[in-house]
Amino acid sequence: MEFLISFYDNALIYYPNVFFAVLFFISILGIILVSIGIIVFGKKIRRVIEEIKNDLKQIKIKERKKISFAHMVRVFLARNRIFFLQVIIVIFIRINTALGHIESRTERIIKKIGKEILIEE
Amino acid sequence: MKKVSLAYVILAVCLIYFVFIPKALAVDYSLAWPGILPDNRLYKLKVLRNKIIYRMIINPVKKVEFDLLMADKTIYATKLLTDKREIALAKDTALKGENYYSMLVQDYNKTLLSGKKIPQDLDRKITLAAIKHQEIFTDLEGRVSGGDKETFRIVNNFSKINYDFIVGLRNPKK
Repeated sequence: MEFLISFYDNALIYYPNVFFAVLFFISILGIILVSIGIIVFGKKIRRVIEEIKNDLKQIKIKERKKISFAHMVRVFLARNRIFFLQVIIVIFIRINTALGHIESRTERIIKKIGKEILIEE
Repeated sequence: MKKVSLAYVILAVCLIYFVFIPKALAVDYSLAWPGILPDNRLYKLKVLRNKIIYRMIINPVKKVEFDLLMADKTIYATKLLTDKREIALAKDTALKGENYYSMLVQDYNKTLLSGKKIPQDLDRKITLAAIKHQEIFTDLEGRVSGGDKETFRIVNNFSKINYDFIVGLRNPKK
């Protein structure tokens, strides 16, 4: 350390112009390196920011898609309400007929069973 | 024959008096070349650079060395300016040069107070420099006239006072 300080002081006293020239070039080199670093890192940072933006956009698009699907369903329902009601009525009628059919069949079966019991008695 | 030998003796005495004795008495210390002189436009820039350097030096001993170098350069610049007959500027420069030597005294004191030793070589240089400065100021006193002479005499006295101070620091009275 002592040697380094002595070397620095001697350079400063006896070769001041050389010392300042070296200092000047080192500072210019430092400025260039820092600016290159800023440019490179700036690009990287910009890329990362763009990726984040894209991700956010995609997330927004997905959300919008979800919203639009529900919206579409709602619109579809609103527009074809009559058709939809008719479909529901048909389904209900069908269910009703099916239930009536089952009811008549069960009645018939019960009647048969009742007759058989009477005959046996 | 006697006349010829007498002439030789006189010649030899003259040679010794004018050539060898002044050389023997002159201080064997060469001042650093000052570079650009204070009459240059860029000199202010150089002064600023030197102030920055002074603040950047870490080792106090090196600070003393730097002060000595600056004092030497400035006083040499005074001599060169006097050669160029720029006496007014030379007077200012002489005062500034001696101010550097005053700074040296302060830094010398600080170094001693911080418990560091001044190398013997540097100590010798400080002494020789003071003598050389005084020699130059005395020479300049002879080369200028009137009020200018007075300024160089004052600077010479400053130099002596500063050197006495250094001597006092070297041998503190207990």
